[in-house]
Amino acid sequence: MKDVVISIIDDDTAARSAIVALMRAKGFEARSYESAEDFLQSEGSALSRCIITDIQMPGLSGIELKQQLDATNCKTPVIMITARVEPRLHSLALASGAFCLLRKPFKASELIECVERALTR
Amino acid sequence: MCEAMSTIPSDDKPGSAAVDLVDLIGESVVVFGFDMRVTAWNAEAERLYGWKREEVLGGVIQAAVQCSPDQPLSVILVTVQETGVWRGEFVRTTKSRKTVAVSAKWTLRRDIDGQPFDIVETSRDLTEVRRTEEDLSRVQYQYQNLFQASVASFWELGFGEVGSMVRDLLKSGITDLRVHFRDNPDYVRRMIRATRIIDVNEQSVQMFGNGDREAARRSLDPYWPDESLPVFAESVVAAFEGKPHFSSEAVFTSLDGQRFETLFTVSYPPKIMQTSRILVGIVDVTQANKAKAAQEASERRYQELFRFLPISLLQLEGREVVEVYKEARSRGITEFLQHLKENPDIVDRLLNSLMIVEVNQRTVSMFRARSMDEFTGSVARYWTESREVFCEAVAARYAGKPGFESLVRMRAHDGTIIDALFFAAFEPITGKQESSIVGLIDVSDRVKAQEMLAHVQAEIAHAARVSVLGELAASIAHEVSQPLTAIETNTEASMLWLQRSPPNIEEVRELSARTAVEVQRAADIIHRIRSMAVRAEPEHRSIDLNLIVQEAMLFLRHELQRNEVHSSLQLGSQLPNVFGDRVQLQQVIVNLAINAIQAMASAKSMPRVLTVRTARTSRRDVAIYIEDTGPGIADEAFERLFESFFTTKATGMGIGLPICRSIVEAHGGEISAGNREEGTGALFTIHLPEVSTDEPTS
Repeated sequence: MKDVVISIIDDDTAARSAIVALMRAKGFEARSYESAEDFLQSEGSALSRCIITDIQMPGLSGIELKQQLDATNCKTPVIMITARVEPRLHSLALASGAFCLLRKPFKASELIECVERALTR
Repeated sequence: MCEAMSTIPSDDKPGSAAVDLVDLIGESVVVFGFDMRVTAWNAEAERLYGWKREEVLGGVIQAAVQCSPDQPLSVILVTVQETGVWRGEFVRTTKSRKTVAVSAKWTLRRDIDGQPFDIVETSRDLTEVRRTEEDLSRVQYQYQNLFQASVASFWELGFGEVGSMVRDLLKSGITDLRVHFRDNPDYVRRMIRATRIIDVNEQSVQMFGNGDREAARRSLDPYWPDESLPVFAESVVAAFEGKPHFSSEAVFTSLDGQRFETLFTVSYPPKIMQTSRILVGIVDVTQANKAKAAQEASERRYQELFRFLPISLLQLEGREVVEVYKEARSRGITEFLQHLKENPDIVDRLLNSLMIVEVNQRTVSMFRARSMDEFTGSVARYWTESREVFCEAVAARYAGKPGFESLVRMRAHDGTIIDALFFAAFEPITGKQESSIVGLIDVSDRVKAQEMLAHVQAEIAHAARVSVLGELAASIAHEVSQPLTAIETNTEASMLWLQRSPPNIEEVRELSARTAVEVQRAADIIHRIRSMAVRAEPEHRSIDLNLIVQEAMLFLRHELQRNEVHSSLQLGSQLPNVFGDRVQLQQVIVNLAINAIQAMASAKSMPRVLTVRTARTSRRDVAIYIEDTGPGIADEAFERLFESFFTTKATGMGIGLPICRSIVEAHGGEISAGNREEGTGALFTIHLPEVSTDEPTS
């Protein structure tokens, strides 16, 4: 399990480090990034079995990140999380091919369930 | 006059310009030599005597106007040559054979060597003078009427014989008249008998002569009892000493033996030695007593007003106040208020020594007392709530102000605090410097109404804040969801670490610490929202405006992000504090910022920048500038911008800006709207008065 790399992208430090802690507690190797740009420039994009990203961030949004991954034919499942409530954003996220969409504050068990489903796909 | 004369040429052909000048003079001007031949004749001379200038020039003056002076011509000429001037009257005949009386003045002119060479005669038609005399006698007649109608007794006395008697005394070697009169009362009595009564007024006839004018005028003697002889003597001395008047209390008796205490006044005309007439006024003090009675009636009226006016009135007496003023003046103190601030013991001294002399019925009811008797002692007990106003009032009187008024809070006898308008009249009605009248008008009802108004305004401000929170709901939800996500996730991770065998306590400890931080973060957000949402009375304290701006921006962080607006804070350094309510001022900034964000977002402006600046201004106040890069404010919107229920927003209520304005104005500041000078966008400017440095900050 230690080999399973999960990348977490969120500009909110507290939320990001909490998700990292949760993934580590589940036995995954968690890598964290402040922005989508940081992630794309790192080796994480190649290693990751699953990506958890916030939608609303300075620079590239989570949806734009998914579009870029699609463009490079990267099939890594992307779980999107957001604190925003607008219905339009949700349909945009789902339309972009998000594997899961979770609204903050979500239940940790929901996120774990999403990640596990993504890994067994 | 003399200068005008000197311009008259002395030759036979006077220059017309010079003569024209003399023609402007309203007196006849004639110039002739010692041969009496005329060399100048002005327009007034033509009018007066009927002769034209050209008819008389070069001829002898007597040929034109036959003079009949009251002195021989030779005598006049000698006088002129000896003294340089002669005055007198002529009766002359005009061209039309009419007789005119003139008053003339001859002035001798000398040449450069001092030799007399001609005479200038100025003369005036006496008939004009006579008219003036008639006018004078008419005035005298009116004076006579006044003389008769007066309530005082007036006597016109012939003093000629008395004058001769005194002159004889002086000739016989008496030097001190006063001593002589004192030692010879018989002589004074004789002077009284020698005084002739020329006229008396009706009042005198009634007072002294039992209504019989002839009897009253017969002699002064019966009216003058021996006890008043020194008064007569003194009045004679005063006349000889050249005093303009003499006044004394004196006792007189009437023909039927009635005794009067009077005020006796003599006025001496300037030429008393020639006319020998003097005017004596006698005012019966019994009449003065009547005036006194009238004054008492007026005081009674004042007392009635005092008692029954529906305004609380207090009569105070404070000799100590006068003393304190004297002390301060002798020390050269001009800033009395400052003096009192520095010496609170003086304020106590004043408060404790200012005694209540009298109060009216309204005072009793206003101060919730049972009777006037409760108002004894000093005013100190009433000034516990508004001591500074007392100081201002005392200082106003020191500064010579006629009165003072101010709002005060006073403690009533049952402990209630009354709001009242206090006023003081320093011009003492009672005529005593140490006494003063102060009044109070109960304005508790008005103050209550104002408090109610403030309350309603606070309610509206609160409603506006809640409405702002509504607009920010999405942002708030976003903001609070972050720490909640972290808390939930950290807790779940901790559970997982605990479920392991053995449980990883170190990881759990680390997560618990981070969770605690996030709980605090959530609590801060809630606290911030609650302060905006809760309805609280505005607090007024000295606050740092930069801190207010930073806190306000916390509300807006997600709203800015959501609308892709960049914010720029340019906070002035060393900003003085302002005095006010933290929540309300934040509300203003948040409100204006939200307007700016929404304007930029809905116009899809690019770039979207919200700039908030603070600075101390040259007006010595603190300014906040809130500007955006939106479309700016339309010209037609400017006028109505701060009106209630005016909005350009589809979902707006139109209370944001009016509330902003009423909050800013309640803080003694002002708010104005405009457009940025460079580029597009609106600019709102708020000025708030700075707290002076000696006030404590909190």
